[in-house]
Amino acid sequence: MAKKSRISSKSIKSTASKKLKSNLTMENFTILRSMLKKNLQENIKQEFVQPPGTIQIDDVQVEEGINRINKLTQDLCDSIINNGSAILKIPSRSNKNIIYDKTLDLLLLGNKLTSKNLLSLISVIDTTRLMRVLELVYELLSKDIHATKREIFYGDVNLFQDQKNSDASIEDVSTLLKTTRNSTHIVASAKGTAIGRLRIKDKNDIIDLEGLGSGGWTISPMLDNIEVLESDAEFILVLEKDAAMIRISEARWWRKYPCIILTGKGAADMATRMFLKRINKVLNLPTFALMDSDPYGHYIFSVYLRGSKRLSYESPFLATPNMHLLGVLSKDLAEYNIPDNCRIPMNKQDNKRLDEMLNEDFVKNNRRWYEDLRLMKKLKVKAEIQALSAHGFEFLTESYLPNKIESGDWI
Amino acid sequence: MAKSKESSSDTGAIKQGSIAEFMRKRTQLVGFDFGLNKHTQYAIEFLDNSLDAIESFQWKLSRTALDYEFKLKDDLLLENFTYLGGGVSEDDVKKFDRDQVNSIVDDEGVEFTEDGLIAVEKEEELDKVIIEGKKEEERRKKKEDVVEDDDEAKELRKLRKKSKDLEQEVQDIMWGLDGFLFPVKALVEREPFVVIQLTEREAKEVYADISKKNQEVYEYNFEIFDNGTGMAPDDLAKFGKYLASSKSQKLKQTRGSQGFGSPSAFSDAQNTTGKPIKVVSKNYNQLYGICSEFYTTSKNNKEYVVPPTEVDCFFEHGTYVELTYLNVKYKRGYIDKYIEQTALTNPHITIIYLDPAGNEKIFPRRVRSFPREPVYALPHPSSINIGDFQDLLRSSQNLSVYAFLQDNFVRISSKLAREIIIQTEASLESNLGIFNLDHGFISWLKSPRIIYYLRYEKRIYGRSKKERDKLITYKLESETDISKYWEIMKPFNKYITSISSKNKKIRKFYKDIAKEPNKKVIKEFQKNISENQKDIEKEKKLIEKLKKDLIKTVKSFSIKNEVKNTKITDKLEDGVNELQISKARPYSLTQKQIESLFIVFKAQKYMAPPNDPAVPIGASTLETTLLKEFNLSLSHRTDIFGNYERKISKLSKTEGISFSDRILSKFRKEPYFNYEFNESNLYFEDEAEEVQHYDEFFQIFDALHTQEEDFICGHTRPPTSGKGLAFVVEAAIAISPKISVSKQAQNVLMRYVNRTPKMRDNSDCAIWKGVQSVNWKNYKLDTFDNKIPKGKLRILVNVSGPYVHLMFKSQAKNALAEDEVLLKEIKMCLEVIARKVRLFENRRIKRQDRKRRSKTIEKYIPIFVNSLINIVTRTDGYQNIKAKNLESRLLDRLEGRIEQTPEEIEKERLQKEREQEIEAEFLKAKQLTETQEVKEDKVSISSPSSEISAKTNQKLSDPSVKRDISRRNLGSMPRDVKSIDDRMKSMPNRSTPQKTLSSYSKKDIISSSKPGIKKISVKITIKSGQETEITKPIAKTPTKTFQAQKLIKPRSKISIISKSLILEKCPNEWFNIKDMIKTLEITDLRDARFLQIKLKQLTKEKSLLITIKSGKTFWKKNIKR
Repeated sequence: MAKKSRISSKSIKSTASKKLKSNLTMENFTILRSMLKKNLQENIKQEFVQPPGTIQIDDVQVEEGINRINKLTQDLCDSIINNGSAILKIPSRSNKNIIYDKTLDLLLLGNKLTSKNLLSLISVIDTTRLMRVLELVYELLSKDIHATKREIFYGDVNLFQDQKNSDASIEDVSTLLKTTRNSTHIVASAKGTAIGRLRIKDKNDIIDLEGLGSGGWTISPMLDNIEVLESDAEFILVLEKDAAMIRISEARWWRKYPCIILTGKGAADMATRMFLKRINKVLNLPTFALMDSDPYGHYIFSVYLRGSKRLSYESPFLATPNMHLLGVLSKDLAEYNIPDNCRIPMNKQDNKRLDEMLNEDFVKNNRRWYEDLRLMKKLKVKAEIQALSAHGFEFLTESYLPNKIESGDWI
Repeated sequence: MAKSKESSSDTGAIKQGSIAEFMRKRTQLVGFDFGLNKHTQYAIEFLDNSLDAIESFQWKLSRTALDYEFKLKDDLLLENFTYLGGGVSEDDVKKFDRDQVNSIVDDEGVEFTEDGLIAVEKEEELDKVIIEGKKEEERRKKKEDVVEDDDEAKELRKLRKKSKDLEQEVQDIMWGLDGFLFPVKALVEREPFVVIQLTEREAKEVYADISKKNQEVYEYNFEIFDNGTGMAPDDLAKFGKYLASSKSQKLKQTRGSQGFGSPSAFSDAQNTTGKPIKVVSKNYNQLYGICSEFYTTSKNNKEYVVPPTEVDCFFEHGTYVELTYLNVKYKRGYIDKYIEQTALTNPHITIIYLDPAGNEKIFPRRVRSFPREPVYALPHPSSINIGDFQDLLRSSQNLSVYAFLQDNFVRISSKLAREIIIQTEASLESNLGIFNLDHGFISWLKSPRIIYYLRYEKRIYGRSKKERDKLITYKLESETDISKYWEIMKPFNKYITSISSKNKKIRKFYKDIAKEPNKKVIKEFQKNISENQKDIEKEKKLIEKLKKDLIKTVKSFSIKNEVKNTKITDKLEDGVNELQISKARPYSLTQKQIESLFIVFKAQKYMAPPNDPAVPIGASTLETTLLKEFNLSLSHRTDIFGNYERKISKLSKTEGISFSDRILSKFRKEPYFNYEFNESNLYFEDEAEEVQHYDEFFQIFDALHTQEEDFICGHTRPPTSGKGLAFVVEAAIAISPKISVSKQAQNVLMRYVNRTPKMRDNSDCAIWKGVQSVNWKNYKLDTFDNKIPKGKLRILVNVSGPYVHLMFKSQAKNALAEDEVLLKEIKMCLEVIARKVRLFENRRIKRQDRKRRSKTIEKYIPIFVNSLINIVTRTDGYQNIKAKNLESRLLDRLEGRIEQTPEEIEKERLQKEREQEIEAEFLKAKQLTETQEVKEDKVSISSPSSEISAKTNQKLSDPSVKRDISRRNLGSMPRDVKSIDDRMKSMPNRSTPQKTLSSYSKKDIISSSKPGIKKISVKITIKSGQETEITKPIAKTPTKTFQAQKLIKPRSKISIISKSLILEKCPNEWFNIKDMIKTLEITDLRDARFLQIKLKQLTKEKSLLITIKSGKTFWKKNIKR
């Protein structure tokens, strides 16, 4: 009890020190604007440099993809005819083979190989599935059409047995071809939505994301058909949850603060991340994330930031390294005086994930992030974005976000 | 037996029994106890005798080269032969086409024909031995039979009165025999065979009481015929008497040896039915056969019903025995099994067995040659103990000890015999206190007493008037002589005592060595021993010298005073006679002489006993018989015996042909014979290609023919000896799914002794224990609880040699006593085979695994290939590829038809190495990215963004980063490099090869030559170049030094770990070796070892302090120094 009271007293103190400004406009966001200015001036088009000891994965066009498959299968044929051995060598996607590159601030794939032998009992099924997926990919590429993972699974249910297996094979195929999954024309059904000041072109349709009502535009998995046309937004805001999205879109927030708003609805799928990466790259806008103040929220942010470990090889095409975590930070709980009843004690799983996060290299290198997570570990409480609603439903849009952006209080 | 031999005076309570009386009441001692095993026992006794007789006939005849000999090279089609179906008629045999190859008879039994010349010589020797043996036997016979013959003669005379009745009876017997042998009549002179018939009859009610357990009792008629030597009339007279045996006197590798078997059988037969035994026998040397019918009596003689009568036999040689006994009802699995097993190890003799149920079992001959004849075995000196020695001496007919030694033992040459006698005399000299000085004898005194001198002089004494040699005793009285004598004797005695004391010392040292665990001390002891031995040798030479001196000096003595006191002279004369063992008769040696002789005899080093008394069956014979027995296939043999593992490197033409012949002969049998692999395919014109072709050819062979599940392997140990007699252990193991699984261990293990199967008292036997002593699980064989292997296999172990006769545990000869040498031999023999079993089992497991694997994999191959084809056929140059081809290639590989070629293996190895290199590179890359980060941060110092600069400031101020840098700097700087300048200069030169070595892509090089980094590195080179040895700001050098560290290969690091470096690097606290490894950044284990050595050196020099905390060693700088 004593502890609790101390924390609360602290929080009271900090709120006292933090005066919330009201009626902030875009003009007040000096830090943001300077960043934007810098971004636009420098127009850094950072060359992606493949660090040594890692495998180069690139986004390839259809023809190149077909060529790669041809080469691979021809080699395989030769080897079968020569000595009857059918071995596929795939870059290993195990944890050991994943390197965190500090220069690029990305997770990359090392050049360790795992070999899949058709004639060994352990890998015969995997290899067969892999070949089957390769065949399907070849078909997709040659016809220039897309398919979802589920479709691939239904391509040969008897062989794949479970979608897990086909999904694994799909990933294998893309690493085998040293390309992104998107280049294999296999897409995951996207669940992310985007709204705000952005105009895009989907094949022949021009879509204005401002005029799509409160629902926004569902991000298409077939991003190679999407072209970013124009935007007058000054920043991008990524939300963890749909609930916050509804609040913001209802407030037509982007009218007051010109921005593009995205949500992955929980853990971000590839298409969402890729879309974010695309607009971030094209528009050079400062990008912020608003996540729950819990380890999982931070984890989702990290996935946006650097890519997931599983798809590490694709992270150059999925990750947005210049992204910032705007909130809700653990220190915000005190600063914005979130009441105790909105704070949820952390459970075992949270603690575990928190420890994992604290052990990550990229977290350790970002001191402010690290400290915030340490604070979370100390407080042993988490809070959702909705906790801000304790101060009124409009608190998020009217005070919290503007204040945060104005003060440059992000990670 | 021992009891009955014990004799005592006629009066008193102790009465002497006879051996016959004793044994007749105890037929179970020989195995004739009532029960199923008794059937077997009859077979055992008579079959063994028959086989021995056939063998001895063949051996004898092959020496005399008479026409009687079995012509084994003429093969008979015995596979179609049936006894019950009328047998073979004379005409059939004549018609038989001899050129036709007979499949049941194989050449593989030929094993001993290699050294033909030597064999002939041996045979000549053999003849002598046998002739001598015969003479002795005859002599003995005369001695023994004098009394009994008189009795028998009287009986005979009485019986002859009833000659008319007898004639009838003889004719009955002969007719019976004629009928019995009718089916095999044509074979009698051609084929060595044994016929056994057992017929069952209702027993008379009177006898039913014999069974105490109310078992059903039947009367059995046992008939056996063999065409062996046959018995001469004299032999026949003794046949059936206890301890009368042609084999018991001298030890030879025979089946029977004791003279207990058939007498016990006769006793049992008579005891149970009261019917006489019928014997017809014809020796090959006799004109007529002898027919007789008799009872044996408890007085160990015979009571004839039909006295020995000369009859005309239609067979030239052979023996027929018929007897009747009572027993429980016949069951399968006893006698038939025994005969079956006998046939396995006696493939050179045909065995025909007719059981009471009217079935016949025929085991035809399977080899074309008889085994070599075993030699009579003389005892080896090492096996003799003093009792035997005495017995031999007492009964010896030899005139001298010298002859005795040579005649009665093996491995004693004339030289050795002489040496033994000389040494014995020398030892007797000190024992009796008399010196033998060629010209005379002088007493050997250790303290001053009267000195006597004896010599032979021609004198007339006794009744004879001629001069004869007589020992004359003199007394030494001249003082000069005595002093001269003592001049020699004093040092002589001294040396003798010193030798004995040194011998004692040596013995003590040996005892100490046995106790001492420390090797150094043991070495010292051994040194001492060898020194002492050298001294002894020296002293012995001196002694010899002294003795020569003594001989000379004594000769110069003036000898006058003859001693006439008979008390003194007799004693001295006796001593002199005792001393001269070379002149003594062996049977008259005194106890003292025997003892000294025996000690010297045992102290000699002898060669191991000769091996020829032991004749093994031969591993390949065992293999072939087992193969045929279980109908196994041969192919795997080449596989197992690793003919392909040995690479053929060079082949001469003849070698090539013989090699291919040998290999091909194993594949000639049906499923493997293939015209593709014909011999003609094996001859290549180009010699260089030849070897390679052979290799390929046999590899294909191997791949095609190693799918069999059958395994067979035999092994014969080289002959060894135990108890002074030779023996050979051999074994064979057959594994096959065709062999039925037996639930009992005794069915798996077949024990043989001298080719005779042993079926009772399994677990008592040394063979059984030898098999148990092998750790079968190591060799992939499952075992019963009693450690005998189980499963679909048979193990056959045979111990042969005269040795075994001394090793039987009982008269029934069912079990061998456990002897260390024997057990070891059995174990080693089995382990040789077991290693091959393991090889085979491993391969089988691999094969099964492969099969299992291929089943699942085969399912997926079509799917895989289909997908592959769908893609590939759309590309250029691959349109024509067919799924079938690919599938078949994959299947070939899967089923091992495509083996990995050496090049492929090499390729794989290289690839692995490359992968490791890549991994190493990968690790480097990880390090690189770390350092790159530092660089980047420095670049960004100049960037205007306040936030980022704050970040970098933070990082730079981070103490951990600093420490990191400083660590690198110091650790990688070699102290022994002259100056840093030199180092810097050499750096770019070194860096270039490193880069070419690594397989970085072009991009990497670009990355490394990024402008920002370049600038910095340039800066640093300038800076560090300027500040030569002044302490440098730590933060500026890291990247450079890091590179330097990278450039130095790990091996050259060793030079860097110098003492001074360690001293400099070690903290002021206690540190562990692990800490040091960390601070010095040692990655190689060798370097760590080097560090350890250096640390030890430093502690010795006392520049480091050392403590041990909780088992770990910690060091600390010694500040005082």
